[in-house]
Amino acid sequence: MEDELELAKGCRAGDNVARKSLYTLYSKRLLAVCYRYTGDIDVAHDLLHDGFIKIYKSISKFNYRGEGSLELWMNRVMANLSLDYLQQRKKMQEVIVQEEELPDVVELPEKELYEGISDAQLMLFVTELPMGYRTVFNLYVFEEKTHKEIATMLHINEHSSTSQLHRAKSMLAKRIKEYIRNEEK
Amino acid sequence: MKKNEDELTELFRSRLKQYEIPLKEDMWEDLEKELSKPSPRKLYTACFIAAAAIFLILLACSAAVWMFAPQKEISSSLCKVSAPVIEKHAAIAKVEKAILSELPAEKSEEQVALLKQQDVIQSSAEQNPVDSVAEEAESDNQPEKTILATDIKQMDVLAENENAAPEIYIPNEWTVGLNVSVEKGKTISSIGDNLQPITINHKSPISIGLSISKRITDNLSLESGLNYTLLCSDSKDVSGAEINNRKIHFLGIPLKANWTFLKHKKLSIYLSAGGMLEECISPKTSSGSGGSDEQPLSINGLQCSLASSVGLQYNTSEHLALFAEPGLAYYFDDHTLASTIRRERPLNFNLRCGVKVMY
Repeated sequence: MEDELELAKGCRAGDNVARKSLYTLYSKRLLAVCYRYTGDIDVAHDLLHDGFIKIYKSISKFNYRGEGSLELWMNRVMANLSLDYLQQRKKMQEVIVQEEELPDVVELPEKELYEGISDAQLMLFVTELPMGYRTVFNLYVFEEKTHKEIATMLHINEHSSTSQLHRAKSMLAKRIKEYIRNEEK
Repeated sequence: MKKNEDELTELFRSRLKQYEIPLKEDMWEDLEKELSKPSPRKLYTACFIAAAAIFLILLACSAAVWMFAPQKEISSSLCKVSAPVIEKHAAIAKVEKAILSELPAEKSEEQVALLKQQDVIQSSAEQNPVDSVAEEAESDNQPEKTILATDIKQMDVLAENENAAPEIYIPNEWTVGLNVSVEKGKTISSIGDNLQPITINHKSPISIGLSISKRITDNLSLESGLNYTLLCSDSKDVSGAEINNRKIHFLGIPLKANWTFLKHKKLSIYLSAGGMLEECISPKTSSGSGGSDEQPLSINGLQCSLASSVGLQYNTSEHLALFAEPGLAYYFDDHTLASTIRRERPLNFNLRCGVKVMY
């Protein structure tokens, strides 16, 4: 397998073989990033297409900082595109929801029980979250942002970010429990 | 609760961070096809540069004509009435003034023929009872001698004011100008290219323009030209450290109409309205001291804008004027994803100042 630096150099030179290798290597993972943000597989495919065009055109601006940095950079391009897509469609407005009482904490079942749940099913749980919950959950869990950063990015207050995450997690735990209960039947 | 939350976070992070979804068919083929197409942006840019080049060549040619051609000839050719003929008449009149001043006035329809064939002149002379004209003009047989007194009177006036012909009012048809324009900047907070919260300081856009305008009527003129605009912005993260410095260069072709509604001595006030098409020629982002990765700028297509302004012009001489135009411009959404002053404040005030050369 070619390393990231070689792939980046090849793409920078316009080498189609390198481009295809890069695409083959990362497209499935990047499609999952777009899907995780948008919750719509067709939109995710469109964003993946646009994202790769953007990546190839701007690969000359990428600074290599060791193995993994190219994937991280591409990941950010896709996350940015997805956030732009959501913001452009004003879907982020869903983030600002009425601050009702926070739901009770739903305990996760025993580890042995939820470990059997497939990755695809977990992904489905995330994509089925309401848009606002999902965005905060993605930024907090996968981009590892703080609530302060999320609040600034989404133009919401910090407390709102905290409560969105809490609601997202409660909802996910609830879905996991329901799923396990149904599986047991 | 904390433990439970962490467990859930860890579950999703570990299971979904590297999660892969199989692609639809032909995704790579579609992408490859699109990548092999010539970029529409490049085509736009090529067309734009061609248009700009043609404009500059035209501008250079007209400037050369103006600079190197004798001023009188240009004036004469612009003034389609027969100014040279009038000059000639004036000169003739001056020479013959003494000779013909005593002639009795007599009107003839044949005055136009004065510079034509000699037989016509002679026949005119025969009709004229003043034979002394021919005698006094024995030294030369120039046709001018038959010029009639009425013409002479008119010509005298011209002859006395020897510079009369160049002073015939010829409005300036063309105006070439050089101008500088500034607009107000803006500071906003936004999401950075690397998903960091940042503060973007959009500096005041600066434009430099070359313009050429053509007079349509006494008060109305059409103006076009070439405009260069620089949009600068810097981004700072929450700690105040500079993330990057962005410079976007635009080349634009404006088209507008100017209506002069007040003229007083050397001062005139006019209204302008029009639009401009601009093409981004070089979006560049340079990293700050933090040296973060650079992200692509999504600036595609043409930027359209509408503008109107009030202009104040002071003519320092016949051919030179200074002007100032405060105005308003509206920039249409070009659907760019990059944050620019055009997107953050589509309606902006500007002040344009410059010089105009008229000829």
